Amino acid sequence: MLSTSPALESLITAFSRLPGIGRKTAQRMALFTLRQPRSEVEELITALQNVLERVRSCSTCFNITETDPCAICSSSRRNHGLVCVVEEPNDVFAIERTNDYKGVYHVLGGTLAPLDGIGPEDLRVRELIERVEKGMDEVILALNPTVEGEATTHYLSRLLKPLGVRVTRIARGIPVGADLEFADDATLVRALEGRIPV
Amino acid sequence: MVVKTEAVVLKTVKYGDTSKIISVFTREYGKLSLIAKGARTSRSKFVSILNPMSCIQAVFYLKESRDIHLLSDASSSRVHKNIVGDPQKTMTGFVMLDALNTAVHTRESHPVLFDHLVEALDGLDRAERSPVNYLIAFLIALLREAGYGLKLDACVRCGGKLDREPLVFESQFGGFACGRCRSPDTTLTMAPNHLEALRWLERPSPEVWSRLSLEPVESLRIVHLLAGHLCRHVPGARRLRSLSLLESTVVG
Ligand SMILES: [Zn+2]
Ligand SMILES: [Zn+2]
Repeated sequence: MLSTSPALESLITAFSRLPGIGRKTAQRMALFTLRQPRSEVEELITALQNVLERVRSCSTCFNITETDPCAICSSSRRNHGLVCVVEEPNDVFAIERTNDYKGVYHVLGGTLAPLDGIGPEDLRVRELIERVEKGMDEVILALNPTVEGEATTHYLSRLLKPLGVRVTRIARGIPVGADLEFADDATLVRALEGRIPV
Repeated sequence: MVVKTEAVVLKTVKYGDTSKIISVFTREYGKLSLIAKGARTSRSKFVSILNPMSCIQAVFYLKESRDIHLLSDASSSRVHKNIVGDPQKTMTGFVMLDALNTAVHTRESHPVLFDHLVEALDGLDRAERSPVNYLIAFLIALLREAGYGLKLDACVRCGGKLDREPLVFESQFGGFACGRCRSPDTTLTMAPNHLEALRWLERPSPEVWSRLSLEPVESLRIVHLLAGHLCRHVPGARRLRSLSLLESTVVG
């Protein structure tokens, strides 16, 4: 049935690439889109187009932004000598939600993943080193407490310490294997306060 | 059907908002993928046990028609509390998983190899020095189980004693050639102590593995030799990309 429309078929394919969306759900989403009023579909198109055209990553911290440098990197109310290293932009959202952190960020783009061949050259490690070399008082390593996150924390601390910067990590208030993104605010505040040197 | 088996977690991938897809090597059913729903929230009982290198007792619905099976229960079957937190042990463990992952195919059951992996992880956890020895021992066992075991008792070309240097590792023959009959174009020369180390770590007794003291550079050289042999012979095996990370952790 569906193959009678190559246009619909390509929409289904596009939807099925979204995280957590299987082929069947993608079909439902595509058919749902088809039944929507034209104006709503156009709104979706505009939103997608805007994201495509306006959203990019900050050339300093690699968080997602519409201005470069981003609002956090260009804010005078932020402590630019304190940088918090996280895996993904989601983690920035999570920490910002606490309203408790006044430093800046560095989005690494993931963790070392030995089985997937993801090494330091695939992450923004070199860029982090460059920022620290330009002068930083403290680097907080706030990676997810997974096995890969721990390995990355150790790897980074070994690189950073010789640069004479204070290197800390967030306390392990979050169970191993969980996601920073889903921690409740109180846990996150405690984890930031309880950071320890590594 | 619902099955229960021991498993070692090889890798995990985030799925949806709170779930994880884990790739495991099970004792009874070989390598397969399981979905652990809600495993990334701090309320999940799975949260701290579904990580690479974790040894678990897994209960899941095995559906022949599916590529991913639903994990219904999991509990720790062995606790390795000294691996995570020790960068060298962590990276060594990752190379074990990488080697296993590339050498076995999906749903290929291999209980003997599973037991070797668990034994190597147990040893790595207990090791007070030379963690890489456990990796070397595991790679030797892995090659043997894959049908590409090393021949370490005599020259692979003339059958004579391996007493004249330099020794050469001849991967196509699965062992060492003596100084008399090595081909002139080979470059992978090895010292007699490499051969001794391999003979020592080939012994099926984990309690003696840690007694061998090797310089980190030497042990990495042996790991490279074995990884190269694996990559060359085991069908479908690829280069171990985790090796460079181990290298930077061990020798800095
Ligand atoms: Zn920025
Ligand atoms: Zn010979």
